[in-house]
This record gives sequence, structure tokens and C-alpha cells, in this order.
Amino acid sequence: MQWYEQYFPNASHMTSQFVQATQETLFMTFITAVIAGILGIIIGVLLVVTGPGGIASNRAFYDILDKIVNLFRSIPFIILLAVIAPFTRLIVGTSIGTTASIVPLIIGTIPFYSRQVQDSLLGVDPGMVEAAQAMGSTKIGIVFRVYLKEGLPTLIRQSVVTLISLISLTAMVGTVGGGGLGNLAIMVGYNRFENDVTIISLILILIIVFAIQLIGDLLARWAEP
Amino acid sequence: MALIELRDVNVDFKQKKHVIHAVRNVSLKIERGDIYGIIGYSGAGKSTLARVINRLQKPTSGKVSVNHQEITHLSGKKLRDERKNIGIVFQQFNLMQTKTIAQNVAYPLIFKPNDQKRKEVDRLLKLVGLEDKRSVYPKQLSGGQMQRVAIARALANHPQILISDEATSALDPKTTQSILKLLKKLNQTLNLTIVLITHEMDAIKSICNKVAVMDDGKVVENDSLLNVFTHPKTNLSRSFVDESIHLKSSFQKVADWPALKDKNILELRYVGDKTSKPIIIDLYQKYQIASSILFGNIEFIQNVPVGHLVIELPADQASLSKIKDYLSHRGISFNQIDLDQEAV
Ligand SMILES: Nc1ncnc2c1ncn2[C@@H]1O[C@H](COP(=O)(O)OP(=O)(O)OP(=O)(O)O)[C@@H](O)[C@H]1O
Ligand SMILES: [Mg+2]
Repeated sequence: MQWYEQYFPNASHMTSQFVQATQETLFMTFITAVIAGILGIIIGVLLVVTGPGGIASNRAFYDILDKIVNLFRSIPFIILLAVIAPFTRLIVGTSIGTTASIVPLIIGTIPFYSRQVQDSLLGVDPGMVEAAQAMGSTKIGIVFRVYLKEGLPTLIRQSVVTLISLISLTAMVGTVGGGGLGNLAIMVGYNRFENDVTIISLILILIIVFAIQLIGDLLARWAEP
Repeated sequence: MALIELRDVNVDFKQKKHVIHAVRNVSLKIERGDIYGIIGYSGAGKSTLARVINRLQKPTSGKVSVNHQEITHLSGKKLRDERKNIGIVFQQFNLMQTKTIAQNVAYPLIFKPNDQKRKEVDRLLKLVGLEDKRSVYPKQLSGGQMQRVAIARALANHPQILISDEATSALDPKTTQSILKLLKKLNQTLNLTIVLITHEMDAIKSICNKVAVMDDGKVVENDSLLNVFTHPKTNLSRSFVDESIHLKSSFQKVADWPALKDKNILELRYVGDKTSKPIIIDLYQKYQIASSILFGNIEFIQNVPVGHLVIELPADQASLSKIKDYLSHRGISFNQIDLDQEAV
């Protein structure tokens, strides 16, 4: 390990900080993924079923939901962070720290993920939906047994895309006091000119990204016929 | 009352700039046990009409009743129950790609206990002759096999009615015949009423007892198959019949034959036992006219022989009118052919 201390003079003394930062990043990613995942799927499904030609088509509802999703998608994340700080303080009690950063992460991820869900489900052959209707399936039945089942392989691939962009969002909240590997890379690595810390943070982030990619691929292949 | 009854059904699709009238003023009665053919060229409105029958499509106006029940305004559970009574086989099969064959067929059986479900699936797959494909995915099947799965799935709810929308259009002639035979068997064994939608007279000819001809959203003719086949009232019906007996293509073959220039050519159509009486011999014995046969065809429509004969007569106008009298007297309908026109 001599070369490690030689080339990474600062990082080599920060193992426990790296472990903690990695845990924070995973924690933020996981909680956000679960909450935004569930809400994103619900909104995505609602967009599909109430949209044009959907099984519960409702023009007014769809238009409003569609506009809201578009609105939130077009806010740059870094500005969203600032704008919703008071709201975050209201529900979490503080606007800094790992837990507090989950609020903007969720709000930033939901619109993006809703669209991904919508796209995946719209890729399901409408013929299958019609066949299910013809067999007397209920709307709920069609959502779960046709849309989510037949769209699952695409949905998994799209979710991987969302998860990876979520990792980059966690790095961004890190820079404004959110903790995690992004925080370490900027606050320590960049601000104190300790480049080796930045590089190790980067490597850890990449490992997380590759792991997600790998698991996603395996899951998608499992879901395919 | 008929099992399926449509009264003045219209379906309009509003587009941005104009309205498409997919179905116009259609009234039909389909009786229990019928194999009812609906024929028409692409865009005639056949699929839309089929979708009206199981209320996948709500008619813009008009009434649809199935089994004495008005279904036009049904919704929720009542509509779902009605749909379960009407199986439909789609042209594109529409099988679920991530489900095995057995799971596809079991789709409508979700609320049945597992052992009962397995029994039903076994019975249905046996019915369509696909017992060995249980755990295969749709991608691994041929078109004819997918069609059989679609039929099995459509029968899972024990429907009284089966709609087949171009079920055989994508298949080769041999596979088509085997699917049609299967439908016929289902009609006879389960007393299933079948609505067979197609653009090929051949399919209708083999199994239907009644037929409706559609053109531009309208039903231009509907009658028993035999009547439409022997006495088509519209040009469209006539061209479907001619197509199915290859009349047109045989005209095309003989049109350039110099020996036939300026000859009288008659097309005769006759039904039933007239077929067995020798028309050609009669003509010779009665009028000493030696006619030659250019084309001959006999079809059995609902077990009744229906003949088409195209003959060439070296006759002057006087004897020609005598011959025409003779044919009318025998109840044979005829049609003088101008080859130059028929061949185009
Ligand atoms: N959902 C729809 N929206 C708009 N127009 C439609 C819709 N469905 C059908 N049409 C139009 O209605 C007409 C009839 O279509 P339909 O599919 O019923 O014809 P078809 O007889 O089944 O034709 P094919 O033999 O090609 O299947 C066509 O002009 C078609 O473009
Ligand atoms: Mg069609």
C-alpha cells in the first residue's frame, strides 16, 4: 500500500470519511429512488391511462398533470435547491445535511422519472391493451397485468438511466451541504486543492454507477421473455 | 330476436380537418349458430364494425344489442361481463409477449383456482391442437400457431360469440384452411356464433352461411351465402365472387386469342341440379350449335353445387336470341361478355 500513500497522500488518511460519504450517497440515492420511484410510477401510469387514447382518457386531468410535470422538469436543479429550501426546512426541520437534501432530490427526480415511465408504457403495443379490454379485464388489471408487465423490460432500462442521473444529483446537493461523495470531492478535494481526494471520490461514484448499470442489465434480461 | 342486432349504426372519427365516416347506417341481424361473413376491401370499415359489436368502439349513433341486451350505453362491470361473452381474435394476434402460451390463454382466468386454471388451459390448448407449446413464448411460434393461441384465449371465457378479424389474412392457404376448419368445428361442437371478417371470398365460401358485403362504411348487400354467390346484386359482390372463382384471370388469359375476336362469348351461372343437365349437348341437339368451353367451374356452397361456365358460340344474332330464350327457360342466368372490356 506504499504507492497508495505516495500518490494519494491526503485520501489515504481519510478512509473512514470515504466510507461515511459513500454510505451517505447510497442512503440519499436509495431513499430518493424508493419514494420518487413509487410516485413517478404512479404519475407515469396516470399520464398513460388518462392521456389521448388511454383506457381512462380524461383530457382535463391529463393536460393539467402534463403541464405540471413539464414545469418541474424545466427548473434547473441547482435553482430548485434554492427555491425549495424553505419548504425543506418546514418538513425536515433543516435545509442542510443528508436527510434535508432528500427533499429536493425527490422533487427533482419525480418529473424526470414520470416521463421515463410514461415513455416505457407507451411503448407497450396498444393491441395488447385492446386484447385485455376485449377479455373483460378491469382498468387496474390492465395497468398491472399489461402495461407494467409488458413494459417492465423497458421500464427497468429507463429506471437505470434515472438512477444514474440521480447519482449526479446527489453529487450536486453534496456541494451545498448535503454530504456524500460529491460533498467530499468539492469541499475537500477541490476547495483545498487535494486532487487525490477528488479522484478517489470520482472512482467511488463510478463504481456505484457501474454496479447499478450491471444490476439493471441483469434485471432487464430477467424480465424479458 | 337475433343474437346480435345492429340498428342504424354509425361510427365517425373526427380528425383535425375532416370527419371519417368509418361505418354508415349499418343494420344487421346475426342469428345464434350463424357463421356470418363480413367482406370488404381495406378501409371498408370491417374492423370498426367488429369493434362496435364488443363495444371496444362506441357507436356515434345507432343501437347494438347482444342477447336481447342493449349494449350501447353499458359501462363498468356490465360492459366487462358483456365483453367476456364475446371473444375476439385480432389480425395482429395481440398476444402478450412476456407471457408463455399457457399464461396467455390463462389471462382471462385470473380469478379461478390454480388447478381449475390448469385444467381449462389444457382443455383449450388441446382444442386448438397446441398442447406441446404450453411453456413457449409467442415469439417462438409461427403465424398459424399464434392464431390458434389467440383463438384459445378468446374462448377461455366460454363466449357465445367469436369475432375473427382477418384471422387468416396473414396465413398461407393451407394454414388458412386448417384455421377455418377449426372455426367450423367450434361452431358445430360449441354452438358458437362466429363473425368472420375478411377480404377474401375464399374464406367466406368455405364456412359461412351468411355474408354482408361492405363498401365505404356501408353494408351494400347482405344475404345467405348461396344467394350472394349465385345472384350478386352489386358489382362489388360480383367482383368478390369472380375473384374467388378466378373468372377474371381466365378472361385475361383468353383475351388476346385471335380466334376469339368477334365471337359471341356467354358467361352462364347456374345452381343446383341444373348442373347435371348437359347444357352443351342440349345446345347442339336443339340448335346444331357447337359451342366450346373456355372456362368451367363448380363450387359447393353450403353443399349446393354452383356452376360457372364461359362458352364461345359461333352463332348469328337470330340463333343467339333463341339460345338466350332457352337459357332463361332453364333458369340459367347469363351474361354476354366483351372480352376486351373484361380483360382490363
Ligand atoms: N381510431 C381511428 N381513428 C381514425 N380513423 C380510423 C380509426 N379506426 C379506423 N379509422 C378509419 O376508418 C376507416 C375504416 O377502418 P377499418 O379499420 O374499420 O377498415 P377495415 O375494413 O377493417 O380495413 P382493413 O381491411 O384494412 O383492416 C378507415 O378509413 C380508417 O382509416
Ligand atoms: Mg381491419
